[in-house]
Amino acid sequence: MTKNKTLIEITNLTMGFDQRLLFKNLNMTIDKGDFLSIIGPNGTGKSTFLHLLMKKLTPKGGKVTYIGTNFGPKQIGFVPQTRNIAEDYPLNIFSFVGLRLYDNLIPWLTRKDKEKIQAALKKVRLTEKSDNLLYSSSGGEKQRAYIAQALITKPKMIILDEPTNGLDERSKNEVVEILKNLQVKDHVAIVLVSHDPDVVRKNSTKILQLNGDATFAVGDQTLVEKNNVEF
Amino acid sequence: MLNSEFMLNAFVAGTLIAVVCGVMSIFVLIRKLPFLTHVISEIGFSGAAFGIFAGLPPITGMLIFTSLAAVLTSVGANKFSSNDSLVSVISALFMGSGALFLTLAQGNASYATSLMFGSITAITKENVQQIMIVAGLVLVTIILLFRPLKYDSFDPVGSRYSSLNSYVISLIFLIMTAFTASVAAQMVGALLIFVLLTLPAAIAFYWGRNFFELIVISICCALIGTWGGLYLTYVTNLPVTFFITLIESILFFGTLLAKKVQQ
Repeated sequence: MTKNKTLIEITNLTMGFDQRLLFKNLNMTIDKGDFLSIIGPNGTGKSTFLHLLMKKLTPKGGKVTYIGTNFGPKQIGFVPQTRNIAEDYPLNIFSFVGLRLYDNLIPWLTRKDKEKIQAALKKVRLTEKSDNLLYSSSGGEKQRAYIAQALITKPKMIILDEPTNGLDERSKNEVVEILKNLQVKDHVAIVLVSHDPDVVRKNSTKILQLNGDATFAVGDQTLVEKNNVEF
Repeated sequence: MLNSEFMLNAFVAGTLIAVVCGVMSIFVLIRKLPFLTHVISEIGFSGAAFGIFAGLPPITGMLIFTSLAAVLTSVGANKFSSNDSLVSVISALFMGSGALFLTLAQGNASYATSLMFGSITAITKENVQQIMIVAGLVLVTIILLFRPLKYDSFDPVGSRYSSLNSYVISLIFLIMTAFTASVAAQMVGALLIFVLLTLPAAIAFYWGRNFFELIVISICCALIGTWGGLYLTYVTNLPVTFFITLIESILFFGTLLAKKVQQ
């Protein structure tokens, strides 16, 4: 793997709602090729942390800094936990992935656009299923289509909110393998929220444990055992 | 039929209205906005009454009122969570104002009826020119905004987390809906605009396999209803709105039946 290069620097980050502090003075970096898992029980601020990373929320204190001129919001792909996709309509996987190519005034997809979509579908192993309608696809295929959509702009970081939630073992492994390939082969930084001990233990290069009471821990895979983490 | 000037005016206006409504109805349905569209069209009636009262062309009054309602709804929806209550209140307020302006303008009942239910004899050459300008503006805006609008309509959650300004897209779309409602009211009337702003797309969703097909089928359905309605009105002298709603409904129920048989 290439030498780690910092993409995001988090300095004294403090966040909470009303009187409750979720975390206080959090310092860490997210580097190229990282696999960062954010863990902790529900309501401890994991999704909030993701929103802070994308600068969709303003922190109570501290800051999130994007490092370098080549890294910004457009280099981050996001896969939300819940989608409200217009599923009653004939939207196939190919068209869904292409939705994120919106920086073009030509209404139809160009040849270049189609090549980008094909490349993204190949990365998530959905080339064969690109004509299938999204709403009739399996949970695992949908999740892979969501990842393909996030990949379409060749992001340097992908943020995922519980990407393996509700998936069977096989689909879960497929999704994790795709993420692992992106991390190792393409050096994309993976940031995900997960309640799955297997996913976290086997793949993470960094772990952020949030407790929801202003305390937190940052570490590597050993942190899970050391702190007897609750998933 | 097209030798008479008023029928030619109605035909040109109807064709433009059908094309714009065919395109807009696709987005109206995907964005789940039929109720709001109905409200905006009712507000168009109040706007026309305001136009008569203020000595403005009725279409100008409609454009002002419907656009204002679109902006208020959009800003309100951004600030408050209860969108349906907000839309109801705005609708009631504008409709009440419509009754007031119509009384103040001493408008006669037949004019009010033509505003509510539409009329082809009321379409003048000037109306056709106004419709051309507004329809052109709507179509150009939708073409320029096509990709972001499509993304925001099909995948609103994804769009919110992208670098797109979802709120601005939504606002522009609502203003374009208001413009469409204002021009369509000239023919089908304020009360029944939603016929052309929902039914063509509702039919298209049963047949279209991709977005291009959806738009083509939707425009065709709107054109069939409008042209058929104009012809039947010419032959029978009965209201065009009745025929347009009848044809669109037949197409819709025919589609349901055909799909049932296919299964």
